[in-house]
Amino acid sequence: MNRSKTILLVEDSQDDVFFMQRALKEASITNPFFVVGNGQEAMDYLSGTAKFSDRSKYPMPGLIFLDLKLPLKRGLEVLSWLREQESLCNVVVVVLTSSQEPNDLREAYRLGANSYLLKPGSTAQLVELMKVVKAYWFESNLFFTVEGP
Amino acid sequence: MGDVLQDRLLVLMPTARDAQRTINALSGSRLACVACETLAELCSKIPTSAAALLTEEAIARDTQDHLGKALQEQPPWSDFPVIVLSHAGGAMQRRPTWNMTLVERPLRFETLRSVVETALRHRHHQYQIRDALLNLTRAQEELRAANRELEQRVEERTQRLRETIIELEAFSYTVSHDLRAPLRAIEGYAEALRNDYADRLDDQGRTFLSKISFSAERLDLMVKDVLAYSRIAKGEIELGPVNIANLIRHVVESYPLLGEAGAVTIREPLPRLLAHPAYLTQCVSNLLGNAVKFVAPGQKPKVTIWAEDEPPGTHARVWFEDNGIGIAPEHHKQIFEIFGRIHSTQKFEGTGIGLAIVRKAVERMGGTVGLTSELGNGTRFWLSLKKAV
Repeated sequence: MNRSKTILLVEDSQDDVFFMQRALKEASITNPFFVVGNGQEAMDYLSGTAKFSDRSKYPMPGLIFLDLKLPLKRGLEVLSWLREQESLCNVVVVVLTSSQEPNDLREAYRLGANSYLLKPGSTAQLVELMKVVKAYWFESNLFFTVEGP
Repeated sequence: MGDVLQDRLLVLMPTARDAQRTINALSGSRLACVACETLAELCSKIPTSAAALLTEEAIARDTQDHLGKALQEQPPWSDFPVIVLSHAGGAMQRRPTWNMTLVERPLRFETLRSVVETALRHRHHQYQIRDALLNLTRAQEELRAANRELEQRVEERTQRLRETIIELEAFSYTVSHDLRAPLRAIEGYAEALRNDYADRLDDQGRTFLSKISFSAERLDLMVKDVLAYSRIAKGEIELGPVNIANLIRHVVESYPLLGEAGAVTIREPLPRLLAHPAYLTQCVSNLLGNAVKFVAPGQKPKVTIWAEDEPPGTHARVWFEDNGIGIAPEHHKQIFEIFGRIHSTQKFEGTGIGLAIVRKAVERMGGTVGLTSELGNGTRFWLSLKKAV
């Protein structure tokens, strides 16, 4: 069981963060859940720098939900950087975005995203999606853990 | 016959005195004459500054090579008259390419004058031809220049148009895309309100909430359809052979209403078409969706699909015939426009973009779309697409 796997949500929209939290709750996903609002903060969190240096307070995530349209550093930049880090290249990254641009799709996979999900239009659909995420990623998929910094 | 250079008669005689005597003899008839002293002078005047030449047979014979060369270099319209005064018994060679009139001595003055006047009249006709040709050439050149300018302007306008279209399409894509985020928020918070506060609301409050959700959902559908339209309008397109019968069967599988026995009949064979599979799927899906939707209440929808060759043979026409409510002829054009729906959303749900998407997709695949229909008598939509060789 991967209920202990920490989830990191990289998302700048307060509304979308709010809806994700509710959906995860509705889908009975009780994993530890953290949110960062931009690409730079995501990189700080993952490298354990700036305000995220205390790993007991900010554990390494097993799964990252990554929005693409972010301020400061774009989602794809974060993904690219992440895959270049020894200690981070195996973290599961699920892109969660409203973009269906073929370019974004191609680049996301090329840079090493594990999956690409579209933000659904309704709350009900988001809950269903999170239930599927739970069933697949947290109840079926096996993670490879490397202790992060 | 005035004083103009080109109307002058050139006179070339053995001596200056002969020339002067001849000129004097002709002076009464208002002819402009000029005596040439040298052959070179003569030849230089022939092209543009003389109407005819009056000379002696002996001189003509002696200078015939040089004279011949000068005459050969005439422009096409020019046939310079040469009047040669001969001696009785002279041996002037025939020069068939020259416009030569041989006048025998002894001659009457009237004879000479009439010959000269005739030569000058001929020359004048030649000048008229020359001027007409000049005007024609000038007119042609002006036409060519005007054409070039026109083509340039058309090219510029077309380029500006292309850029405008690209901007508009990018704009519509961006706008549609950016509209979905706040829409998600409206729907999400309405839903959260309903989930968390439903018990604290009365019936009317709950009704208001569901209307908010309904509108947000409807708007989201319209935005999704506009996005689909934009994507088809500006997206990459790669045509390949498609088995449309199989494609239709796949679409039918995803429509529960259509999947019912007998609802969709495909009259095979359907030809292999040159198409973009995703776009064609969208077209078929929209057409079948409409066929299922626009039926009289209580009526079970039925669609029959068949194909025929279109002359001259490059395209095939695929027909989608339904038993629905039909479309009045005055609406046949409007239904293909964005948001061009005829019925209110109370009667039939939908975004009003489905057929616009069909038309755009078909156009991008190099085909056309149309229909025949009357109110109350079902509708027959057709897609005309290139056949795959």
